[in-house]
Amino acid sequence: MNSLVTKSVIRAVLLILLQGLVFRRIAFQMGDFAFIHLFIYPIIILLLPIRTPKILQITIAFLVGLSIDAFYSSYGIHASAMVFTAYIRNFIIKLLEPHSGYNVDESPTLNKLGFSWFLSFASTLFFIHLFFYFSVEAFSFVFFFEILMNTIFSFIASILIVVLYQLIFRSDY
Amino acid sequence: MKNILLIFIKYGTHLLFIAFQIICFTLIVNNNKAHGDIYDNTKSIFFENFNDKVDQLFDYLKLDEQNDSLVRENAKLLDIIINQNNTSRKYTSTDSSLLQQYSFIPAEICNKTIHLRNNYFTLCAGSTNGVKPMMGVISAEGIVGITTRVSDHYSKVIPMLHSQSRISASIRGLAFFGNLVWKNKDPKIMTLEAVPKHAPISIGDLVVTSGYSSIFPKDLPIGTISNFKITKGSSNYVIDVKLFNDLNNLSYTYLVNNKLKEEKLNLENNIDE
Repeated sequence: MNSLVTKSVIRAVLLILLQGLVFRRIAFQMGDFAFIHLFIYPIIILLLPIRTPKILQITIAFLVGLSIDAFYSSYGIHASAMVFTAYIRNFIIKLLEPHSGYNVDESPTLNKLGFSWFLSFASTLFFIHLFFYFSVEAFSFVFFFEILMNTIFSFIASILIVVLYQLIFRSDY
Repeated sequence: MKNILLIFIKYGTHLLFIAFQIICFTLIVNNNKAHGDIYDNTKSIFFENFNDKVDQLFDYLKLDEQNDSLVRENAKLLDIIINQNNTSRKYTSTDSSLLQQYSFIPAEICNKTIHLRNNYFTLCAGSTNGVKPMMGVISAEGIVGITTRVSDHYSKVIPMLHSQSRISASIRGLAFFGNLVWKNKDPKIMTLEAVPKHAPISIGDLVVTSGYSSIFPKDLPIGTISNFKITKGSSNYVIDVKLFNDLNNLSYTYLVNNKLKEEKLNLENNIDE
C-alpha cells in the first residue's frame, strides 16, 4: 500500500516535469496545420489506484492541473480539464468493469487489465479530456472547427505516446 | 447539522467537482486576457437589456426635475412678456415692432467652465437658430452673459464670470447705475462699481439690469447687495452683489433678441461723429 502511494507520487512528479519541460516544446506544424499537441499528463489521473477516494482523486487532479498550468502559464485551463477528467473517470471505470471485477488496490494499467481494455479506457478519457481542454481554451463554441481538429489530432498523437509508454514500462508504473 | 454532514458525505465528490470548476473558471477569466474578454462580452450581451431598463428608469426620474425647471422658466417668460406688453402700451404706438421689442431663443448649454479666471460657455444654438454676436443670454433666475462668436450650430458666450465682462446694472428704484464686474474667484459674488457714494443704498437692495446697453432688457433681476464699502479717496461705492442664479447648475438659457438694437446703435454712433 505504502509503495503504491510512493510510486504514484514519483510517477506524478516525473510526468509533470516531462510534460512541462519536454512535451510542451514539441509542436508539429506544417503551414496552417498546427493541430497536434502532445498531452500525456492525464495519465497521472488515469493510473491512480482504483480504490483512491473520489474526493482525493479530484483534489489531486486539481493540483496536477495547476502545476501544468504553471508551465503553460494558462491559469486554470488545465486544472479545469483535469478536474473534469477525474470526475468522469469513476463513471468510465464502472462502465468498463470486466466480469471478474477489479483488484481495487491496483492501478488500471495495460499490464494488469490487458491491451484492449486499457486502450478503450485511456482513449475514452483522453478524448473527453482533450475535448474539454480545447473547449475551455477557446472558451467559445464559435471556434468549434478548431476545437474539433485540435482534439482529434492531439488525441491520436497523445494516445500513441501513452500506449507506447505503457508497453515499454510493462510493470504497473 | 448531521443532515448537512450526510449530504456532504453522499454528494461530496460532486460538490467538490463543482467547487473546483468554479475556482478554475474564476482563475481562467481573471488571468487570461482572451478568456476575460470573451467573458465580459458575453456578460454584457446578457445584461445589456437590463441596464437599458435601469437607465430608462433613471431618465424618468430626471425628467421630473427637468420638467419642474422648465415650468418655472416658462412662467418667468410669460411674466416677462406680459410686462413687456404693459410697457409697450405706454407708448400707445401702432408700430408693431414696439409691441414685441424683445424675443427669446431657447438654447441648451453644451459646454462650460466655471472655475477659471476667464470662463466660457458654449450654447447648442447658432446662426441657424437666429443667434448673433453680442446678444444677451439669460436664464430663469437671472442673466448669464453675452455671446461673442457664432457658428452655424453653436455659439460662444462670455459669461458674467469672466475678467473682461462688463454689464451695466442699476439698483431697482434708483436711477444710479454702474458696471458689474467679476473680481474674486467666488462664482456667486460679483462687484458693482461706479455707483456714486451719495446714492442711498442698503444691504438687500435688488440689483437689476439698467437696459442702457441694449443687450439686456431693462429691470431683469441679477442679485441682491450683500455688502458695500467706499474706498478711501474715492467717490464711488464698491458693492458686492450676490447673484440669484448659480451658473454651476444651469442647463437651459434664453438668448435675448433686441429688434431695435441696430437702430439704437446707429443713432448713437452718428452722435459720436
